[in-house]
Amino acid sequence: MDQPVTGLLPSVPLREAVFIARGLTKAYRMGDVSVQALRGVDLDLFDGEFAVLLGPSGSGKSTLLNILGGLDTPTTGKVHYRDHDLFQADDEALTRYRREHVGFVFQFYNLIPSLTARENVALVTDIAENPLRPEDALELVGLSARLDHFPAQMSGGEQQRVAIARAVAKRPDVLLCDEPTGALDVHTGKVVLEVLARANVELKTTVGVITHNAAIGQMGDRVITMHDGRIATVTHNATRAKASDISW
Amino acid sequence: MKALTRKLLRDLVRMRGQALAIALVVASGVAVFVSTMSALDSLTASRANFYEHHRFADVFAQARRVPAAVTDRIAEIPGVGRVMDRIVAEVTIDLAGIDEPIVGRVISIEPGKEPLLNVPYVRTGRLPLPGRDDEVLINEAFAKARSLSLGDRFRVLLNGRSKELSIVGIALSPEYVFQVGTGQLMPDDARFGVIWMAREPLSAALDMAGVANDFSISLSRGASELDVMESVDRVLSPYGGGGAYSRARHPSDSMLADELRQLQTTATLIPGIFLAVAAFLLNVVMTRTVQTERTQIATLKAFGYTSGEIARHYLSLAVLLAGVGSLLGTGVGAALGEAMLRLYAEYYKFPLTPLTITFRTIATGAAVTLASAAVGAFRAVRKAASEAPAEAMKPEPPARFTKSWIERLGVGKLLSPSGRMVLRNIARRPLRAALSIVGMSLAAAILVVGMFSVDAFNFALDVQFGMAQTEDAVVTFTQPIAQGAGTELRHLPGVMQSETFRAVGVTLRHGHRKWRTALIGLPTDCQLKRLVDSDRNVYAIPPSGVALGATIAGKLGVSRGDVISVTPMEGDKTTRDLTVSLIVDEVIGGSAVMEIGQLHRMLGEDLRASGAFVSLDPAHESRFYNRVKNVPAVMSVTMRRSQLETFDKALDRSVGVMRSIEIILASIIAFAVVYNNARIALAERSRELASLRVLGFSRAEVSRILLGEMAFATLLAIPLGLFLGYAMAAGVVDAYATELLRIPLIVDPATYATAALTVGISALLSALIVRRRIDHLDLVGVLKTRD
Repeated sequence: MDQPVTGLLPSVPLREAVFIARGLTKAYRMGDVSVQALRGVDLDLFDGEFAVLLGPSGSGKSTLLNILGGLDTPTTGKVHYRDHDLFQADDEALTRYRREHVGFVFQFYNLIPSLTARENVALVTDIAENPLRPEDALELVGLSARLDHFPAQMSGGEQQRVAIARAVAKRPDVLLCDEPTGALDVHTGKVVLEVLARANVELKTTVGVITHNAAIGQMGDRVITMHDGRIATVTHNATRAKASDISW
Repeated sequence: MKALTRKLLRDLVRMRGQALAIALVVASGVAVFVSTMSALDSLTASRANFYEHHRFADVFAQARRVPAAVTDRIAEIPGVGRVMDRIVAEVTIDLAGIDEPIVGRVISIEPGKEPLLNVPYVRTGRLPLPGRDDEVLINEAFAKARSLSLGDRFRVLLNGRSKELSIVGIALSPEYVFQVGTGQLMPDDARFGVIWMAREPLSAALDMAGVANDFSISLSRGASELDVMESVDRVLSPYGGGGAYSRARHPSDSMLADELRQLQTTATLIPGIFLAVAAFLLNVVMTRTVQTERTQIATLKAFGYTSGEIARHYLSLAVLLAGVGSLLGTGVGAALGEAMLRLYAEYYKFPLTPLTITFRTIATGAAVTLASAAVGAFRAVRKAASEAPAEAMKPEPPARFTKSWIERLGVGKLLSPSGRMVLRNIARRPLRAALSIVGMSLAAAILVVGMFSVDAFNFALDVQFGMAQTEDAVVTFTQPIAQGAGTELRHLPGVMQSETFRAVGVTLRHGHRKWRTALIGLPTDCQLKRLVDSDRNVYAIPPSGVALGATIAGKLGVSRGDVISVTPMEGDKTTRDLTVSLIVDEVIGGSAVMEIGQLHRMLGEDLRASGAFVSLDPAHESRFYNRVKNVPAVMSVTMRRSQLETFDKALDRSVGVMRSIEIILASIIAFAVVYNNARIALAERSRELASLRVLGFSRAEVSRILLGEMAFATLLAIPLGLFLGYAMAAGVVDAYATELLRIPLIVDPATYATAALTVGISALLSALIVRRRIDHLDLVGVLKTRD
């Protein structure tokens, strides 16, 4: 999946692999239906890279992201984050792993409706080691003016930016985003992607974004496509496009 | 403040209606607990204080004429601390301007000296002085009831002679905290007076110089009460004694103990029910909250909040509700306790210490409340904490629906689509439906329990005074007299019918169990006093053997046909065997009755009478009273009318207040449960209902689905609740039963109707609130949210 290279950002040279996954399979039941979500995935993600996971819905990309983020465990296979064995880890160890290393951004923002923007961010900084101030995190996403607004008082794009502020506020090592622009219009989506790219560059956070929107792939160091529970292709971008330059 | 704490507080504000309902239920339970417990503590402390400072004796005994030397012999019994011998006599009090005779008890005291035991607490005035033969102290309750004050004079009929006395002091006494006169069932302040009088004039009037007939004994530390009582019985036996009894059998103390025991029951039973309901409500609300916040929980977990932190968060919600309720309840309880104590001050004749709300009471109330809240929230919290974040973030699979069994019977075809939705919703979550039904039925049940005591009381009075005791007055003689003389009463003015009876104190034994009571001899054709059970069956006096009240039979562990041994305390004191030929489940009073001729034979005496039942011509009642109180042989006259009045007054005072409190609290429960159910049903279904509205269903049609479910649950809950109430009332009857009085298990249809109506109205009000909310359903907003 070679895309024309139009971006200005130099691609990050491949460094140390922070995630190493081998032979991942995952089967689960959904109501009366049994789903084979992953059918043997081998994948490395590298320190500081911006990786985009592309694929149609049902291809297993969310499941893979959940496993990398410690939200779920594979049925079989091996998966490590640095020296953490995420397959062997129990619930407590996974919780600690998420608390110390991972930031999440979800398609539906998942803000706590009863908390303001600032408080939603504080929810995470309360339990983090060396977090940004919630105000600083919100400034990073350009929401300084909306500190005390409740989710219901904000647009979808603003809500998603709060979600990103919340995810980056604890200076996570890894930022995992599940369809972060899925519920947004093009313009707002771009703003959100811009913020993700900033976090990647300024905070040196390893970013994994899953999307079914192929255009977003231009932003990444690598584009990993998934199909039917397997990795289909891995493409390395020589340069990364800026969010404002891509279109869909 | 931590962001999670803020969330907690905001959540609480959002669900304020339900939160308030739960907090109120908790508060109600705690209020009852704190008020009754504090009142109980105060009463117990007051009793202990009063008994100690006024040296209430431990053992009591009566006999006929006991020489002073015998008192010294009692003092030598090992274990006896102090002994006080007195002369105690029943008299008829004659107050100026009052026709009816009043039962009085004269107690001897040594003038100018404080008694060794049972010291009267002189509230105003003083003790009689030596040499002033007419000076007396009277008890405060009687003085109040009859508006008697210092310096007033009144007459008593003492051993057949009328004597005028002068009041020099008004007192309370540890012996008469409850003052129940001879023949009375309940304390009747106006018709029972206690008179303390110098010993010398009293012994002179009674011809009892140098002898005594009443003994009060205190025990030394570590003494065996039982051993002392047996020794006292041996010493007093030649003098017609032999019935030593402990404080537990002392009429005043045993009544007081019963009252305190009932208070204890109230303090545990009612709050228990309330807290169980509160736990239930919390469970429902918490389960629902956790379900709604499934995604939020998953998000928190995704960010690294631990299961423990999440569990604590939701548990705090429950604990906060319980805490607020507990705090509110403690405050209300303190005020309520104060009011209760004021009420009791009227009723209990001893100096009350101020309301003592101990730390223990508050802590126990809070601890039990928080524990029940935690138990209520436990399942939901555990679910919240254990939810795997990745799972929780996926949309819930569509709920599984099947055709309900009712539909499969073919009834479904008769129902509209919305009717079918109602049915399937109930069938899909049968446990939840069952829980809401149980919750509502508990509300109805509490109402039944709160109200039935009045029904029972009225029934008891009706049976007792309408059937068992149809006399107008009971006349008791100073001592058994020839039966022929007893029938002379018939010639007094106003008497229409008169039947004599013989009553003798006996000890009944069966195996190792024994029971002291009065054995009453009645003619088989007795009209005015009958054996009636709680089903209103009238039993003839058995021609042979003895008829026992069910309470006594229970105490002795006997059933019909068993043989018990009977030892009379007077006459021929030989122990004899008697067959229990009848057991009657009496409403009031545990009596032992036998045919009067048999009793005479057993006592080895001629035909003698202890008293008589008389029925009166209402027109000549006062003439009768004026005559009878001057008949020397008559010791006391008890009137049915006054007994009834006393019962009514007692009912109005204590039961009446408690009852209104219980009804208010039960209504709170009823409304809280029903309202909570409705709100939760609405919250769970608003998306579905909004979808229906979007599809073109009208507000009324949509409302019908939800309200239909509520109506269905309510209709099932009410009969179940009434049944449950009946069962709980049966438990209360057992818990409150005393020796003398066993509340019959009677629930009036009106009580059932009120309970059903209260729950029904609560349901209707909740339905209206829900209906309003359905009308304002935000169609677009509801459909936009994912959850």
